[in-house]
Amino acid sequence: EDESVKLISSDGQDFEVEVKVAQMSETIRNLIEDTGIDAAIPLPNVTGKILAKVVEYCKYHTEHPTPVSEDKRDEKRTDDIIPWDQDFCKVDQATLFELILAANYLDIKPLLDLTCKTVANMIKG
Amino acid sequence: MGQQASLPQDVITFTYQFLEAPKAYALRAVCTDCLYAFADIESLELSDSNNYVNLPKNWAKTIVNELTNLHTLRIKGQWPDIAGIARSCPTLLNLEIVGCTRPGLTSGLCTFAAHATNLRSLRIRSCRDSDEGLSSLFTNCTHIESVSISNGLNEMGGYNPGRLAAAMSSMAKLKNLKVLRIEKMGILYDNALVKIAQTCPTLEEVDLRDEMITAESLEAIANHCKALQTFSATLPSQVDKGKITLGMQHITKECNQLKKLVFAGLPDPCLVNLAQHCQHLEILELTCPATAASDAFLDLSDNGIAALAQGCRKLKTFKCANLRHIGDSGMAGFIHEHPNLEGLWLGNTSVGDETCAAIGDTLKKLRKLSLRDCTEVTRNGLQSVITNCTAIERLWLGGTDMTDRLVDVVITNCPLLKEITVQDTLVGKKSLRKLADAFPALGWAL
Repeated sequence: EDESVKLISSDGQDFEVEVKVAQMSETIRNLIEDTGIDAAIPLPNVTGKILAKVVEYCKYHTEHPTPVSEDKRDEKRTDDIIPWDQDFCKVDQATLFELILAANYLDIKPLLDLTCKTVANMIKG
Repeated sequence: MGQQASLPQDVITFTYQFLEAPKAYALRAVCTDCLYAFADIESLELSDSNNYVNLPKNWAKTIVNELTNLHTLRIKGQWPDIAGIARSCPTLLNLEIVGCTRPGLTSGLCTFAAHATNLRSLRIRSCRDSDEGLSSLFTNCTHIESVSISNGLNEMGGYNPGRLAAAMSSMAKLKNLKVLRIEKMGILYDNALVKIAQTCPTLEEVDLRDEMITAESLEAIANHCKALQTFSATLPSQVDKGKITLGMQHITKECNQLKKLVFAGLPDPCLVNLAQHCQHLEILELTCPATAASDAFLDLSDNGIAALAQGCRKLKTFKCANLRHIGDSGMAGFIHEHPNLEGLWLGNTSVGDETCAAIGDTLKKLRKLSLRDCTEVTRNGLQSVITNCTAIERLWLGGTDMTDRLVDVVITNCPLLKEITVQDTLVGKKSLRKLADAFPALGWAL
């Protein structure tokens, strides 16, 4: 239950993460299903700085699951971002873009939704 | 500064869905990545509530022309040239038009019929009638699986039986029809529904709320639509109740795949049939209008509720509100036999503490409960519910014997609470403040 898995960023940083937190990433979830949790998982497309942020996001959202709205029309809303997520995205543009790339590569849908909504809000002005 | 990473095209396309059409139109001109990503957009909403003053004429047509993969189009409001947009949507699968009362709607629908022949679903809401347009769509777009037409605006006012005659008749050509929803159109169907039921045995969902159903159409559905999973209808006020009841009896006997049934005041013999024949039922809504006369729905009684106890074990949602003659004698037994219930609406009925005890004993998975205006329920009854149903998320207790002390019990026992209403009770402002402190996510009017 408290098992953890090791993730390695592109610049060689180690991150020991609880399995249920790491499995917010579909990519990692599939890798674990194939090869187990004993071997460390290299993530050559994600730097240590960004992986730290991603892990922070996944930890928070595993501990505080947000209920998904039952109304399909809410999917396109951009004004319902929770305060913690808003603060999480208060980063410079380059970091935000790298977070989008990481969320896309690691297949973490809620993080991809959040970062793209943030970009959409910036475009809306 | 290093080279800025460019976003993958599919991510840009994904981002477009959060932008309104005018902003998307502006973004696409920023760079070639954005332009190509724009062309991949699958879903577009054109709403005349946006500020389009500064946009070039015909910009909507320009946009739609560039979208090579458009699957879903939603047009809201009084668009002047729907036909122009319709010409450029050969890949369209889902079309929704809301709030268009211009005459151009008909030529728009006919143009969609000519060009969007792969259409799978159609939704028309609060638009002017267009018999010719709809008929054209149903004749040419034979892959349509889902039709939803509601809140039609009849210019002539009043009751006009022939309004959508051709459209209803053409609907029988849709051999793959799975979902049929017609609401607040006020159409008299005569034999149209019978023909549709006969030629579309694939029907899975039929929703005819506030429509004038006929006994013949109910019989046809019972005989031909064995795959039916969802059925919603209302008892028309000026018809032979006996024949309609017979039709519903046949449906509840023959349509064994039913998962959801909505019919205000469904008579007892139908409930007996449900318990015997419809073991997949998950949602049953029998709630009557609040303004109904007290003797309007006496064919649904405690005996019918008691009969329900014998079957339908998969039931998760049960709504039976505004029936003052329904009390504990059937309800308590029904609840004891349905431990999987997650939602229970018994507002404005005569259920009392015996039912509440059954709820507290049996419904460990209960998430939503309405006992609004249940004046037979005492504090003891409320206590047994609140103490035992610890999974509860939404509680509607307005007009009951709810007190400040019981609010304390809620705070202690219901950690997952998301919503609670206690209007017209003895609960005071102090307790409301306590609730707000205990559950920061709660929202109601203080």
